[in-house]
Amino acid sequence: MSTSPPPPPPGFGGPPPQDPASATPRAQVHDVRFAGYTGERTPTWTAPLTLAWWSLLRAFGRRRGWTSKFVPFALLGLALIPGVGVLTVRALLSSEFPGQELPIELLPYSAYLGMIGTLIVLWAAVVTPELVCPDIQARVTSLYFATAISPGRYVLGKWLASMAAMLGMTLVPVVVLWLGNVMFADSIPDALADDAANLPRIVGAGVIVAAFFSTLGLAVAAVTGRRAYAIGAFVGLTLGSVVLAGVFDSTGHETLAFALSLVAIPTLLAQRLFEDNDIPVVAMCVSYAVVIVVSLIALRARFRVQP
Amino acid sequence: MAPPLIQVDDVVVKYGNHLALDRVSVTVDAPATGLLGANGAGKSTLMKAILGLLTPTQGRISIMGHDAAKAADLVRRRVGYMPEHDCLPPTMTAADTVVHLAQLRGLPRRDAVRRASEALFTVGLEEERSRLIEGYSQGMKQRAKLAQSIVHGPDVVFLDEPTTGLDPAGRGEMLALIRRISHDLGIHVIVSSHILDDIRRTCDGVVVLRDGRLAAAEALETLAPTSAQGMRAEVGSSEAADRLATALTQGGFPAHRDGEHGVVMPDGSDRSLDALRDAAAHYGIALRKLAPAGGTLEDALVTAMTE
Ligand SMILES: Nc1ncnc2c1ncn2[C@@H]1O[C@H](COP(=O)(O)OP(=O)(O)OP(=O)(O)O)[C@@H](O)[C@H]1O
Ligand SMILES: [Mg+2]
Repeated sequence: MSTSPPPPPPGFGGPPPQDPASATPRAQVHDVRFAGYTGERTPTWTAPLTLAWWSLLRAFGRRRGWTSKFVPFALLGLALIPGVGVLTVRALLSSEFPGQELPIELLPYSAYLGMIGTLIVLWAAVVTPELVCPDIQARVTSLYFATAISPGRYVLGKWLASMAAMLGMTLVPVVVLWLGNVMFADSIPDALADDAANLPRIVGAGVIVAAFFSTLGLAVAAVTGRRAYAIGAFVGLTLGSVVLAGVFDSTGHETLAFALSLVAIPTLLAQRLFEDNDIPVVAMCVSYAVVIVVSLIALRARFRVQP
Repeated sequence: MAPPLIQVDDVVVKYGNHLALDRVSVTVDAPATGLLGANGAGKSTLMKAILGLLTPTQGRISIMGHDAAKAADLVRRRVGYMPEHDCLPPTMTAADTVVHLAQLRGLPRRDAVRRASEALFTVGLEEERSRLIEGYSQGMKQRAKLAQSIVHGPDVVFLDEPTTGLDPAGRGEMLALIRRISHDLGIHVIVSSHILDDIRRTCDGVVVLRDGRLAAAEALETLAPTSAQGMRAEVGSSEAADRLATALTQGGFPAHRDGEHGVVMPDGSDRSLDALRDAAAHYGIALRKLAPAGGTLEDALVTAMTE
């Protein structure tokens, strides 16, 4: 170890040594494409439609495995069985006895929704939580409300999605039956003329049932972020109301029984579009309106801008 | 004269009895501003107040010339926000999430799709963009959150602790990205962190919060020590420090010993630094640390905060 340092080396303090490889600039990444957005913006009223569309895609398992698609599509398949079965029988019979009117109407439209009532309730129980629970649990709503969509438009979008999903269940099977009835008739123009009046009834009945369960289902699901709880709560509430209605019915409070059963309210009101059934219409309409209004108020109160 | 980007005027925010922001007044106009403070200092609260997500009990906030409390729709479309917590839907892919958030903010579908893939490319998520977010690592989630905050080409973007949960490499990349957003993409950036270094590497100005009060608001260059104050090198032993100081002085670059292992060159110019490098290389002395001599940014901030 020397006490006095040797003289400075040549090039001391000069420019840094040039690495031949770095003398020419290496590849540089320029991202000139990503810049401020100056294009047109869609009006804010389209936001609920966009939200509804994406919510439906997510609820029906877009880009997810078949397991998340299985339950909803299995339920829809089950709901189609009565209609498709009846049409098959009809097709077989009409080839057996051509030109003859069938002695009975195998499955009246008015009875279809009642027949698949359980499936409709299960469908609402499965699909509506899928629309809101993941948003609540993963705190997506806080991002939405901060920089995407207002809470009011969010609720509207989710309601539209819920409504569209429910209509799939309340409308598709019955419309399939109607189409089949027309197609398998001996004379399609005659059948069309006969059955045309039923189409608006079918749509009306589908809307009555769908609006009821989509609004109620959404409101129940929005209480919790957990899908399993939401499904349980909805099924429990619906079953509970049916049981309660049964109790009132057996003690002679018939009107109350009709007005309390969450399954009877929409299905029997929908049925009334086809035939005069013996129900307390006013009481049931009031119940129907109360359920819808309370659910909507609860939904609107549930979703607020969150700090 | 254009209004400042953000003007906070005597703002008080309370959570119940807890005073989260205590009469904070600050103007933010720099391309990139850091919000610095310890846990619980009120950084997130200040961001949320500026975004209009919570209403101050006192004071006024304007953003881009609009009252923050009344400009929710403007904020949703022209501002980006990356919350500190997870906020992305786990059962959607990053690509779908970013596209649909862009659409909600008013981009037509085609623009939304194009810009979403550009934004995901910009943050380095192009490979994984078609995977469900639930399978993402923390770093990937942070990137996806960043992508959604810039996809609609906002005028200003708020990033709340963007480096949380990132490893050193990921953190470096995130900081480089943030720098690019303000420099190359021309988007104003407000970034919060409790790490001074994050802010030094990304911002032009800093706002320091302490216990809900404004402790300092400065441009970083007024705080940052300049090379005029000289540079201080640290080596492994005092002999090495002796040798380095002597060699530099003899070579015409004044240097003196400082502390046990330190050498200070009062002239912090590039030429002096080249000399230091060459001398160290020549004598085989390992440089442990090279930093501005006249105190660190930390020191400058502490001075500012205690003034
Ligand atoms: N929702 C809330 N309810 C009650 N108190 C809250 C709430 N949010 C924040 N606080 C309190 O307000 C203060 C400021 O919180 P804030 O989240 O703004 O801090 P921060 O600087 O973002 O901290 P961190 O670095 O931990 O994110 C804290 O003392 C916190 O406990
Ligand atoms: Mg915070």
